[in-house]
Amino acid sequence: MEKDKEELWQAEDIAGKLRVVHGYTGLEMVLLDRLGDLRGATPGVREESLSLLRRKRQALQQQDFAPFTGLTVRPLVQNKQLWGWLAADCPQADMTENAYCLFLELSLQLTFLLWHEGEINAMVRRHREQFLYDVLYHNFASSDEVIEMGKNWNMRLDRPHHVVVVEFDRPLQGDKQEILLAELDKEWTRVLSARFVQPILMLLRMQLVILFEESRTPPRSQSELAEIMTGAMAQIKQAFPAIPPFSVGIGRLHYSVAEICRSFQEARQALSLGRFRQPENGITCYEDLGVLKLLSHIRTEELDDFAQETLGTLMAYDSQNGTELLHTLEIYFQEGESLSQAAEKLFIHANTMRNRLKKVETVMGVSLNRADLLCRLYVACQALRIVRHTL
Amino acid sequence: MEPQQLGFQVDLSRCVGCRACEKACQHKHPDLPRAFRHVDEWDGDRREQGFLSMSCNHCTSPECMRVCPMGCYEKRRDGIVLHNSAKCIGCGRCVGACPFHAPRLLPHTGKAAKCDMCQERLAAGRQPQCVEACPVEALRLCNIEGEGIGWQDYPLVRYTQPSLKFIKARQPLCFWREDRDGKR
Repeated sequence: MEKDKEELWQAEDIAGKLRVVHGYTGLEMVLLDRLGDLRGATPGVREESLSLLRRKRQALQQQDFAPFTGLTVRPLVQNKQLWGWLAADCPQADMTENAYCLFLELSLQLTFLLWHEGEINAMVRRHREQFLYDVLYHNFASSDEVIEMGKNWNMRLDRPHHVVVVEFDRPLQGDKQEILLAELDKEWTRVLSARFVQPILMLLRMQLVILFEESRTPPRSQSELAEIMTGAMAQIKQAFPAIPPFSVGIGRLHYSVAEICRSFQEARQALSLGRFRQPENGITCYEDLGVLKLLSHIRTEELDDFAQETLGTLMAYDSQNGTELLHTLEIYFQEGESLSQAAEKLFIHANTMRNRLKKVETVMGVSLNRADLLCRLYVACQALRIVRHTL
Repeated sequence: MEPQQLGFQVDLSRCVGCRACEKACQHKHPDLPRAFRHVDEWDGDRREQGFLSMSCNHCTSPECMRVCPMGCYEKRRDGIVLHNSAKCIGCGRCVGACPFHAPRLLPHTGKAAKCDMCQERLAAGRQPQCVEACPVEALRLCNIEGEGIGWQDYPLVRYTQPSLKFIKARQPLCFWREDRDGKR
């Protein structure tokens, strides 16, 4: 008995410890971590036992061991925290006393191993997050030093990186938001890993920050990146339909590690200002913000004054006659002044669209052919959007 | 050190507008034409007047960092935004971009400068000069957790997220002595 325990202590890893106990007792065993993933097993474990453990993961989580009649399942708990489960492929009644003692000893040692691994992982994650925080906020003295340090986490920071920020569109309750963000992190990692070499993901202040290397020459444009993100977003929504709406902001590509902070701020700005265009599920590139960038520096009251001054006549006409001329004008600008596309968006005929625009000209007493007037109306429409979403 | 966000907390009920914070900042930076911290008067909704003590708000998403072409700005893990004047070329972009006009161009150097939350005092375990000078403890240093305040004035400020907390002014309790004839 003493010899087997000594040998068990000397085995350093999970597989070694399982092997020792299997050698002395003949027990077939499985180790699952707290997520229910298989961490180790002896070679003779029956497939149906494994399948049962996989299928009844929820019962395991709820500490309900009734479905596992043919197995001996032991939860691995340390300081009231669950780290996993050790299961033997036979009922407890079939075990000899010595075998059961060794099984219990093994469960204690595996708990320690899983706890220790968890602590190390948490520490590595913490250090990694602190390092990435420094990169994102330019909190370092020398770029070379950061590039060297990045190699410890397999980050090739000497190459240009795109920065993308993802955030939920509606505020969620504390715990729920964190859990969903972790899910989002997992999903984005899965989707992007298939396309990019080692994307870097990090949760920072309720936002998911993604960095990925640009390996192509010439580099991808922001519109190409937006297309990739649209595809990734669709895949995530398909795999995880219950996920709340989220938006994506994309910064410009900067070539040095010292400029990642700028790209990060640009991505955050694109995400924030992009919501004035598309409040939910939007993908906005910093380069596409256009006049919104300038308008965001102006007081909301001033923007409101400008919008009322320019579009007041049209708004008054709409409210008196129940028309939607302002909406028509906004869609016309949104669709790049294309009559056919705007008509399609509004589900009306192109001629109806043409008539509505003529009506806008009549009501406002202006000609939409004049560039300065068109520009003023466009800016006023953008200002109105900001005002609507701010006040 | 775990990333956090230090910020200023201003209790508008306590502030009496004595400008001690402003003077303390001026004392610490005697070469500045005007202190980084300034107290503005404003008309509140209910109180007759109020005072607002402002300096750099060490935003979560600093606009100065985004616009600086030389990468002069950095944000420490405690949230303080620092300006490195050695790299500064005095282009003034940060001055124009900051919604609070926190960075200033110094006439004698031609470079930008801004409040650094008295980082050397913080390192020595002391409070910033302005906080220490406030006689009514209206100005404090705090750790901003989660959302700061919901700014509505500028769309930009919703994104920059200044690390500033206000404790709203309460209606002061007034006790009037009445004369014998019932007049105040």
